[in-house]
Amino acid sequence: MARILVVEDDLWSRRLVFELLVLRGHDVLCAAGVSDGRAQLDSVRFDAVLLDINIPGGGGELLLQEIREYNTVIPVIAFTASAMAGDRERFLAEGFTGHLSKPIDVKSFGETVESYLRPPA
Amino acid sequence: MMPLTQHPLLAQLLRRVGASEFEAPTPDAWRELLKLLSQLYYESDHDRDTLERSIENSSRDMQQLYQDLKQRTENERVEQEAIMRATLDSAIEGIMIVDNKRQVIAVNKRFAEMTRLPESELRQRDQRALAAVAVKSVKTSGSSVLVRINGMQSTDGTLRDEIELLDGSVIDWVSAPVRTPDGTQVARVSFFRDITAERHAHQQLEQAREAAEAASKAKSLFLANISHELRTPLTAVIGLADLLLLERDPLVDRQREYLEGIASSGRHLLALVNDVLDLAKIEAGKQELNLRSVAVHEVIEEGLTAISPLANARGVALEPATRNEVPTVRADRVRLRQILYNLISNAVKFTDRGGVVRVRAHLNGDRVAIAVIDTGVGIAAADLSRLYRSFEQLTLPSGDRPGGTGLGLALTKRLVEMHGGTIDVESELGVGTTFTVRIPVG
Repeated sequence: MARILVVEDDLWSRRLVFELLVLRGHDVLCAAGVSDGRAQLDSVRFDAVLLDINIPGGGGELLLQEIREYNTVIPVIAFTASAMAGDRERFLAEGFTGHLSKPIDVKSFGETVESYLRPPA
Repeated sequence: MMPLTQHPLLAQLLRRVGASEFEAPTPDAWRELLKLLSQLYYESDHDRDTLERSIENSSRDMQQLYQDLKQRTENERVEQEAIMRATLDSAIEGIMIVDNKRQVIAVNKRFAEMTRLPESELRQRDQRALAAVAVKSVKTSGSSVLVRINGMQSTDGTLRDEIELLDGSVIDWVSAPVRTPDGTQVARVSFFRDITAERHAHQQLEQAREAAEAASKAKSLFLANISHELRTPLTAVIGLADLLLLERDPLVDRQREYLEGIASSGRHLLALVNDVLDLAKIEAGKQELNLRSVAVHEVIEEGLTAISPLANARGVALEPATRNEVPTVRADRVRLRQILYNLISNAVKFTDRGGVVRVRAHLNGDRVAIAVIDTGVGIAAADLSRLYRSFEQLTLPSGDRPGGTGLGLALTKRLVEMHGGTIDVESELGVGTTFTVRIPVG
């Protein structure tokens, strides 16, 4: 079981991800934007962050930068509807641990997120 | 004996009057002699007079002749000058001739019109002073025109400029040296051609093209953005429906059916959005291919595996390609799979229960030809030209529209072309259809 922060501005996408991760037994907290997410990160210790890119308050990349300033190992997964070629490479170069593109596959989503939780080989 | 006279003429005259130079003439002979002398004198005077008169006459004639000639030459000169002037003035180009000191020797009417200065004012002016009052700007500065001489590039002193006159007209200015046969430069002649209309038309065309391109790009960018935005709520629609279907609590059949309808329609919408996004990206020039060496058979198998649930449901057999040796192709693996998936799924959709869909690959020159062959309903010749158009979906013989977005083939064709490949179709109604894509080896 891991404690996961989900930062996603779309209400029902947030709810869906929340449900799927809770179903897998994780402790999930949610935020709708950068400042909300920042507040959560300041008060709770998380094992992973699922971070939408297109979020109010400066975007997911800003929040990632802030996280990486004090924590370089926590898995931060880009969670985005963008499907441009080269996105994955760009996100990894920016310091994300992984990239999950919307729409998600309900059946495999939890497992995919968990694969990022395992310590790197 | 000494002669009376040493003068031969006098001696001759003496002999004529019957006397001799050796003895004194008789009074009669003397009279005769005087008479003869007088006559001679008179005759000679007359001759001189005639001569004088004739000289005077011929002098007058010559003067006349000279005057005539002079007049004729002048007439000819005037006529020639008139012809020259008329020639200059009939030119549609402005013409200006300057001497070696750049003083204007001649201009034509057209040039005067162009500069809007009276001809009288143009003559005897310095070329630079003239340029200063007539030219607004020089767009290209004195580019020397190269002339080919005996296969060698050499400049013969011809210059070309594009200038803008005060009234805004754009002029193509070509000037060339005027040389005598021995090569001495005596003047320089300039031709001015008004290319304002040409430039204007060209500019308008260019602007129209740019506007059209910008509009097309804006449209594609808009589509790309809107497609992106549409994916977010669709994620929730499909995901929540799927989530509900996974619930352990039993649903009544109708509820399950409706949920499946929501999820399936959501997936259809998503496929549509994805295809629109892909097409828009290609059209906006934002689609980039990640080209690698790709093993054709692997991608064919992936395509067949992905489509097998649909084929099973429709009762269509899939016959995998025999694993013959074909070289790898230079392709974006994901996009090549998309191409094959689109073609195979189309083949399955347009093939009746009991039919077969085969995939074959073979080397064809410097390309690998991948053929997707079905025993389906076939395509009418009239419909072949509509195949690759967006949102033009062919209907099944039953009148039903098969599932799909109507964008698949349009997208497939674009993707194949982005790979530097080609797509061809052969079809016979009631017999089947073969789509062949050819992708460069690499």
